[in-house]
Amino acid sequence: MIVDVLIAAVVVACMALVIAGVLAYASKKFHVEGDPLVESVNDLLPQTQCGQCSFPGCRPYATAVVKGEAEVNQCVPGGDRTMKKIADLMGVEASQMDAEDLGPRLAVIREDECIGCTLCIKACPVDAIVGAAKQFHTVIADQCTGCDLCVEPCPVDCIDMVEPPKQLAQWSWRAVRPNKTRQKRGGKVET
Amino acid sequence: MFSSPHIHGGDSIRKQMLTVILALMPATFMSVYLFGWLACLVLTCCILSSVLSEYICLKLMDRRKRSLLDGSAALTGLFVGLVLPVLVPWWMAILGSALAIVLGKQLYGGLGYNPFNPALTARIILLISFPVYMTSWAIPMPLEQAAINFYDFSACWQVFFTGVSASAFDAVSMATPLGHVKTALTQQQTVSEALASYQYQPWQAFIGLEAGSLGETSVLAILLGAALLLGRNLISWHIPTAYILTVALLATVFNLIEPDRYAPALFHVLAGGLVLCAFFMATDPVTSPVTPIGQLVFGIGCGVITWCIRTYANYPEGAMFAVVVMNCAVPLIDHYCRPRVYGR
Amino acid sequence: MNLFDRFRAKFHGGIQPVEWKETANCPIQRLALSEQYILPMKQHIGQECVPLVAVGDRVLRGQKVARSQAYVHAPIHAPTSGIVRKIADNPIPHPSGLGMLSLFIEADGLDEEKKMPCLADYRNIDPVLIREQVRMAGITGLGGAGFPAFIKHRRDDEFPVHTVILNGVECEPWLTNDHRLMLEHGQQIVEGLDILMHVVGAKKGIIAIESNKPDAALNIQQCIADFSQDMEVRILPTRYPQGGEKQLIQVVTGKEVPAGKLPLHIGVLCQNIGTVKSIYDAVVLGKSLTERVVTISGPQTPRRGNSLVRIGTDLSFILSQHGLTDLSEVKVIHGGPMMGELLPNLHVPAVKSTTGLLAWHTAEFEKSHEQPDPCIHCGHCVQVCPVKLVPNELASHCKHDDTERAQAYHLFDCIECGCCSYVCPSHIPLVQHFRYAKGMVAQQAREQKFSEESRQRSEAHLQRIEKEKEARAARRAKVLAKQKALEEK
Ligand code: SF4
Ligand code: SF4
Ligand code: SF4
Repeated sequence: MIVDVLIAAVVVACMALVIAGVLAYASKKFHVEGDPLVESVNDLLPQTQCGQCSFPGCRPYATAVVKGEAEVNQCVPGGDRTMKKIADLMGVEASQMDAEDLGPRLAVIREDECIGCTLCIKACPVDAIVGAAKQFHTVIADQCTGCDLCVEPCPVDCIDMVEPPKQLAQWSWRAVRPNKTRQKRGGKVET
Repeated sequence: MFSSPHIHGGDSIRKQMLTVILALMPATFMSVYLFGWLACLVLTCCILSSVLSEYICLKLMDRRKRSLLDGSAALTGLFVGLVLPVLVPWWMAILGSALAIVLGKQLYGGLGYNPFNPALTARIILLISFPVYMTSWAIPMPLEQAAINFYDFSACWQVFFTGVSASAFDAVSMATPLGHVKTALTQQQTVSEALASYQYQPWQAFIGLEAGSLGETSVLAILLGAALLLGRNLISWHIPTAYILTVALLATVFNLIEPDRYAPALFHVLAGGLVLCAFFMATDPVTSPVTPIGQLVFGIGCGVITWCIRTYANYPEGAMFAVVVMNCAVPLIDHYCRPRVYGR
Repeated sequence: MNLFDRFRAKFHGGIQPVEWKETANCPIQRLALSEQYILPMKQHIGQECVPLVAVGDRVLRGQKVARSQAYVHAPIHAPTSGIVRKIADNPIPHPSGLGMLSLFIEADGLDEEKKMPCLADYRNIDPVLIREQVRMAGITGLGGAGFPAFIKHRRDDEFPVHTVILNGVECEPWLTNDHRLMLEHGQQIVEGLDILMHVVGAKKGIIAIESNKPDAALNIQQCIADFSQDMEVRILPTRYPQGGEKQLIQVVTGKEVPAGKLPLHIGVLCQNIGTVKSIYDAVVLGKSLTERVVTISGPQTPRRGNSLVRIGTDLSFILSQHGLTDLSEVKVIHGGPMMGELLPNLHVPAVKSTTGLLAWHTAEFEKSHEQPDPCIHCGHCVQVCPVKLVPNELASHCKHDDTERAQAYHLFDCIECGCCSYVCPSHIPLVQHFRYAKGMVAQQAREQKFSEESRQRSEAHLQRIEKEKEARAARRAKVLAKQKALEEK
């Protein structure tokens, strides 16, 4: 009787040892370097460089996330989808977005009011604003990331953030609406 | 914003369910012929309690009530009734239907989401929980030995609600062919001796004059219904054919090798719930593969498991276990048996 | 269908919807000229065109008014003579209701025409010239897809085309424009086939017609007799979507077009009947593509029929000519009911790919789009899919935004024929799931590209700032050094 118990205990202990060894080896062998992770998180970010995450750009934010100094839910332009992807990559729980996702934005300069101060050009992280000093400036719509950074510096407040115009080339079919929303008890019938 | 196509073929879940119910009618009538009022009572009880459980579930889970009207709950109830022995007490009929609906279907998210066939799930749970009730088979009315007059309503009413007394039990019950052969084999008899002592006649088994669950005995009635399903394209030929042929093939091969120990193919095919399972249970759309190759694989798997359980396991009948076991593998089968895409 | 038909090569699956081909007996009628024509700058697959004319210019019918520098495009021609009044954004017949740059031409009623040279003796003319003529005529596939026709007419020594297939299948319910063309212009169509065979150097020509159009088949059969080339009318059992290019090729030749390849690669050229008719017009008569046959039908249309419509005609004008003036309770489909699109706006122009206009009453229309139930895995969609996809699984991946899985299930091989949605007992809009996922994949690619570009721009920005800083520091250091030197003196 006692012998049986002993044998069992020894066998289990041996197995535990072996498995532990394998795991230790594997974790050494397949160790993920810290930096590629920053790189992959950075790749997920929208590269808006807007600083809304409270970091000076996407890469600093990615570094902070990897170091565990920042939550995964701070990138506003990236929205829910980006947050989920980062959470997935980092192996943490996805959480609620900090701020509401407004969807894509586009900066537009009211050209008749622009005094040509070049302040917004300096603010734009992706050089999407063109114009010479003392002449009105224009936002290159195709390059604007909608980061909001040019709005603040403008001394005459002539920059608006608007919804980008709908374009046929970017249109796509909507997802099929789940059934529940329509038939929920007491709920309004959506159309 | 509606996407194309803008016309529809007109098929609906409701139509499909009603057609299956219609296809079950021959088997149902057969069960009424065999077990009279008692069959009526069991089936009615099952259907009503199914629909009621469905209603309660939908209400509690705040799901759409529309699915109550599509006939799927009534169909599940009918299925449960048809796989039960006729001598089950009333509470077991109710319990079985409730299990099928709640455990078998609604807990997984309702129609379309259940991984296992609800009726068979219920039957397996009942079989494991109440083996005595689930393995006592009444002698059908058309046979001379029948001890209860199933055509007498009041007698049936009494049996249904109070059960058969323990002393009378032996008189009213008999073994199914499968059960009889299994017992005989354990007593070192040969298959042919066992069949002879049962007075086994293949044509009787084909028509259904033998002991068994309400709807499974008559191969003839089931085939009539299956013809309707096949004609309406509600099931495809792949699963039943693969299933039955596999059982027949295995049985033939082993019967040729050792006829004393292994029953012949004809016996296997006609006995027990095989044909009912092959045409109505294994083909249940929700829990069977959608791809043709997958359906063949599924059918073959069911056949192998059925034959193995019947031959080697403790249970005389294995069809329901086989189907439920294969149900687990459906997503996997569907994933690996996708047809070759055009041009690839 | 005789017994022999059953054993012929066949495509997988397919359905047999009710045909509703009630306009089959309505001869093609020329639609009255309207006052204004609107030409969207892109009516084909490929690059958008840019206008060649300015506001105020007078244009003639058949005059080229827009083109692009890109290879894959089809130039656009004025449908009648008149003045260019406006160049502005205007909605096009598209389910989104969005629009694009369009040319507004005010008709002057003279309908003066400008033609290209006629190449009536085409058999003795260099195929390259004929192909150029087809290109200049702006001909696209008129069956609905709108692929520029000349691209398919390339002679390629590596892949010589041996068979030209004319697609007279017209498997969509309701539509009858190709049917009428075959009845009324059989001679021209067969001659068009002859032109195509000459252009690509094919030895064999096959005209595929479904068994529900015996009169058309008979007519074409008689027309063929006049030609010495090896031509054949092939009558196919009626089945949707037999008119899909890949399906038709499979039925006619027994071969599949390999994924990612063109029919050209298996030596086949497939062209729609309407397209061939306009190729004939372009080559023999020197006419550019400025009109096409449109079936105007549907339960809500009072006078159903087939009309010869100028490209750019307002759809509501066409409908009013067929007696449908009150558009309030009407839903109109652009194309056939299986693959056509519901139009949110009827004040849009007819384009080159307008095969039909089908009007339904709103209530009746919505009946065919019932609320979906959950998938019950009945497998009917698998049975009918001509591409042999597993639509139910594919749709569930699409629904859960799992684009990777969906692509592994060959999302992009789906031809959106709609068979699966048609048979689904749960009324699941499978095609919409697929379209949504396809759109999402495209959007993700766009976003990826944009973020990559943004990153580069941001890096360039940072570098520039860095450089400026350095330059400033250097300047400062210089100034300081100078000051120091001065002080030391
Ligand atoms: S909020 Fe997002 S997009 Fe903006 S800088 Fe931070 S990571 Fe980049
Ligand atoms: S036809 Fe509809 S219900 Fe049937 S398997 Fe396909 S998607 Fe599911
Ligand atoms: S729409 Fe796509 S998935 Fe559906 S049947 Fe057609 S090709 Fe197959």
